[in-house]
Amino acid sequence: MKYLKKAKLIENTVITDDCRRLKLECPEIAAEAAPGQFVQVRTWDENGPLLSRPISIAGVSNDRKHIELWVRIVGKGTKAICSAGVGDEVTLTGPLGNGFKRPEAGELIYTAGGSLGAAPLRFFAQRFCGCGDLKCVCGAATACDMSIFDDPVIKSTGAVLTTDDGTMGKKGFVTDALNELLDEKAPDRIIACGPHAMLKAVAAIAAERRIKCEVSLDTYMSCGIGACMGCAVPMSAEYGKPYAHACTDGPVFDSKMIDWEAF
Amino acid sequence: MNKPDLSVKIGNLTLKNPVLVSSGTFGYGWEFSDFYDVGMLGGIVTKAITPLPRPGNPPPRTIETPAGLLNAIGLENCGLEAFIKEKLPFLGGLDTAVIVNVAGAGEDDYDKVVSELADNKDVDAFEINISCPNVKEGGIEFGTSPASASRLIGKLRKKTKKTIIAKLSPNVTDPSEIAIAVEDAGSDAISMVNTFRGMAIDAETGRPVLGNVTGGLSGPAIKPLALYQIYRVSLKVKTPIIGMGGITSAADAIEFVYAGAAAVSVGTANLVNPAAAKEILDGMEEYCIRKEISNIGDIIGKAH
Ligand SMILES: Cc1cc2nc3c(=O)[nH]c(=O)nc-3n(C[C@H](O)[C@H](O)[C@H](O)COP(=O)(O)OP(=O)(O)OC[C@H]3O[C@@H](n4cnc5c(N)ncnc54)[C@H](O)[C@@H]3O)c2cc1C
Ligand SMILES: Cc1cc2nc3c(=O)[nH]c(=O)nc-3n(C[C@H](O)[C@H](O)[C@H](O)COP(=O)(O)O)c2cc1C
Ligand code: FES
Repeated sequence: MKYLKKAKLIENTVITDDCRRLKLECPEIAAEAAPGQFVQVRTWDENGPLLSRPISIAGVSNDRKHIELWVRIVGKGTKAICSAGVGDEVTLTGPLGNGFKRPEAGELIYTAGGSLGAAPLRFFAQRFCGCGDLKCVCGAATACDMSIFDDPVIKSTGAVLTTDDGTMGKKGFVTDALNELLDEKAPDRIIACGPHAMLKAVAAIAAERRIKCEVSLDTYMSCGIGACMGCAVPMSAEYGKPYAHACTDGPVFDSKMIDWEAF
Repeated sequence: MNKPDLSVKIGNLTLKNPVLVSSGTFGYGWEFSDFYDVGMLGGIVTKAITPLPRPGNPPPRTIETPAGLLNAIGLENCGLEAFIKEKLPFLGGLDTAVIVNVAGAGEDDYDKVVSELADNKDVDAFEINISCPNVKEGGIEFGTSPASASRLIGKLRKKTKKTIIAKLSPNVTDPSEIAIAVEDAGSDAISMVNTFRGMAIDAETGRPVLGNVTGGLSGPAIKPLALYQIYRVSLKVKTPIIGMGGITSAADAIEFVYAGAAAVSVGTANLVNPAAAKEILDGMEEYCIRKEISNIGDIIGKAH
């Protein structure tokens, strides 16, 4: 079931200059949310931006009353969302989309998160710790972005941290660290979320090594609920249809089903 | 005051209230059924149906612009057969008018969809889309020439006794000419406006943003333009007008009624707030009570 709710903002924490961690009270969405799903967020009326903005669910509190969102300010919508004050009402629609497949007992899974793309992977780790065997890689551009990963769940996974410029953690891309792990042992599955170029690179690595891989995509969306057909993702011939819809068929997709050349 | 009478008559179809939801912004209805009982609406207009499935345009297909939404979906739809099998049963089970939006590459495509559904008990009316700006085969050529619009509507009129609504393009010098032509050809009502042609360019890359290069603009940004077109056309035709274009509140909807619309249709607002159409309907009823309007029909076109 999808809910349309006014959720109270409980915490708004500064993570970096342009990233915030929001904790929202919404028991209905928290109770049903699965890792990889997202919510549509709006804090404005007719005087703000227009559409709601899609944001991944980064976690759910143990009592299943609150959800956590990690948001980077990139434009006026995310700026308005991050400017909301504690106690303010935030309009949420969710949980939306299809998440990652549940791990099977003993399944070895590598997660690769680029910057805030770590958010849905953090929820995955939170929900499924103990179900499978997780090894995590998280990458950011530079040291000042590393505080994104300064989080109890991410720390508990013993994640390998990288920065593109080597100012903190391992120097190099997420994909470099992922390749090192893959050289040691092939997992049953890779799951990834992050910038487009990173996902494309992870998909190529998985294809080359013939490892199952799920990616969570970030596309333009309007409704988020399958009504407008706006969130088309070009698919490979194997999928059977030229386009899938990120908001209902995704945002998590089997990476080999995506036509990366066209996307 | 008693509950106001909000019902309106469009051709041989009585809508229990004047709030419809616009084609392409409400899926096939069930997408919104988690949020409220969509059967409370006056009617649901489906996404455009074409005889065969259409894949739609390459992404990006939508981009927000100030107070507006540019879209170039490209009439992606499941095709007539899947529509009848998979989508229509849900719609038919609702206590609301089901209006099928029909599009096609040529007269035969429209004919095929209307003929096939002409006796289907789950369909109450056809909205003939002669105004999609986003595909060459979207019927826009019918929508910009009074002669071809008239011929198409005349042909379809012979195929069905159900209510026919012609959906007009705002991308013409004078929509009244087309409105008069389709009225004379037997259209029971007119719906307007479809989206205004527009585009977005990314200053960083210098490239068009939409995969289709151009798109159609909807949302609050077009409201004054839509109001004016309806105001003007309602002076020229007798058939009821279903007004739309940027309606996001009950006050917006009431303004369209004053401009000359017998019913209103909520589009982009559904994408922003899935409960928008319900809130607008509730608000229109409250407005009528507050203003002691016993019958919404009393204020149609009263801005003239
Ligand atoms: C399923 C999903 C999950 C997401 N999860 C998160 C999350 O957990 N945290 C987070 O911070 N962001 C997330 N995003 C991205 C977020 O939705 C966009 O950053 C936001 O919509 C931008 O809105 P804005 O008004 O701030 O920016 P705008 O003013 O709309 O745009 C600013 C810039 O960002 C670009 N842009 C806008 N939207 C997108 C988009 N969807 N994809 C790529 N580029 C875009 C624009 O072209 C422009 O250059 C997610 C997106 C999706 C689809
Ligand atoms: C995403 C999207 C898809 C649309 N698809 C159709 C369509 O298939 N057929 C049609 O006649 N109009 C279509 N329209 C136009 C709307 O039905 C409506 O006429 C227009 O958006 C103006 O109303 P609004 O400003 O309230 O959205 C579409 C509009 C949008 C935003
Ligand atoms: S965003 Fe509207 S269908 Fe996916």
